[in-house]
Amino acid sequence: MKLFAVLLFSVVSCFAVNFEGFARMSAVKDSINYGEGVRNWGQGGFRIGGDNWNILLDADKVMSGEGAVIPRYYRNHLEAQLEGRFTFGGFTVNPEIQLDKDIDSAMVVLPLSLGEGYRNSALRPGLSLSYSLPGVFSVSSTGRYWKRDITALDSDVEDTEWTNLNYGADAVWHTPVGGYLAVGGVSHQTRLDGFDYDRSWSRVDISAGYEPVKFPSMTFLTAEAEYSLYTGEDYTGATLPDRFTARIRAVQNVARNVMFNVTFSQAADLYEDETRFGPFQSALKSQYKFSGWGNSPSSIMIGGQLTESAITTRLGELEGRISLVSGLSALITGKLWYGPSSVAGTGGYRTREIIGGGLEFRMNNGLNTFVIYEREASNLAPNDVWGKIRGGVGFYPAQF
Amino acid sequence: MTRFTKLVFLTVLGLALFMACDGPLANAMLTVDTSRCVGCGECEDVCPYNAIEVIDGDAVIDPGLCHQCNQCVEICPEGAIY
Repeated sequence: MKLFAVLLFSVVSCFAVNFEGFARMSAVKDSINYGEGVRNWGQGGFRIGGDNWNILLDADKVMSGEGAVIPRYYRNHLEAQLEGRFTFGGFTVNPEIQLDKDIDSAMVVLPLSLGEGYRNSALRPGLSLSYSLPGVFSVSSTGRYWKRDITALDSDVEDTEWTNLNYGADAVWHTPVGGYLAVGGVSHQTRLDGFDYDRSWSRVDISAGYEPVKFPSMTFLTAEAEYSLYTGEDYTGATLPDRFTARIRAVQNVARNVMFNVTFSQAADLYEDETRFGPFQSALKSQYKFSGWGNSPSSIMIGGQLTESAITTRLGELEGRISLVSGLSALITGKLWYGPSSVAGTGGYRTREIIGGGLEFRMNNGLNTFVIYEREASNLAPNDVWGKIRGGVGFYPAQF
Repeated sequence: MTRFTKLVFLTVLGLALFMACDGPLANAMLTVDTSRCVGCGECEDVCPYNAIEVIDGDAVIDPGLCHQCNQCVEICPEGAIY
């Protein structure tokens, strides 16, 4: 730790660097787990960087209680991530390492009904390399290796390693006529030492898109199509189907400060003997920008979303930031969500109603603080009202 | 091909696809809308099958491990998984 502090101080002393620090927390009672369910989350870290490099250290601590209503394998864990990003011309090198330490014995279901186990810790090193010629061409490759220490139950094998190796690459060409073509692929291999489990799957994505086309009357249209070619099996041993996805996004500016954003997305799954619909999404967002009373920009967003796959979800939402006086803004949030439920007696579906408000204060020196309270209720019986409080402080950016 | 012709062609293609397909199977692969996902990790914590990881700020579902229990759909505060 001392060595790290000395190195950090040396870097700061020798070069002009930017520094961003942040700390956020939330305390939540989840409507699924009334009675005992609670999820507290804290995050802190910093990003330090210069003209062509930056290093991020991010530490999260999550404390989750098991629910009284339905069995959930919630975890209490500490997660730390160290990431660097270095650029040389159009090249970027992005090494990272993530350490995950479970505080209590959190349960996990082992693949192929091999029983259950306790998560203990995980280590995930990774490396990304990319080259970009802005607006013309970009290519990147990524590799990551997970190593999870698991204590297996109901088995002769007590301590096992759950490892996952994945690597992939993609290339994007922005054509001179305004569209793009992209090819990418990823391969995963999962192994469970001591058990006879070694499976892999891979996917190749071929996509093409027509980037925003401006129509008369301030309409922008984006169309994308993607074909994902899968090899491998799902947890039942069935072959993963290929998937074709089409997306259309339209943005309509009604006035300088009023905007509508409409999205449609439909997937089709191509099984060996039939073709079926995959997930469908349609969403609408409308945003109104105004000046408010202070010197910060103000906006209100109202939106809605419908998704359908094997299950249906509906979401209505409201987000607002209204500048009150210099640096001080009021925050408004609201959500009405309808979706699947694993709680007995709800008929398979439930609603969540969330409404909240808070304050945000931004100082000229880059200090930003916020606190927001949300009240949540649902159609569960017995019903209750749950609260969520979120707050944070950030310092962006300071130069030495 | 004019821009209008392209739009008509794509619309007809979409309608043909719409009429050719049945509904999704009960074990259809879930998808993540990366434009909505905020990388909070609630899905990662709640998944009993270790099938979700947050990578570069987005949830990524492993289709080889996912059991379609929909607990991630239920817990996602942004409605980003479906």
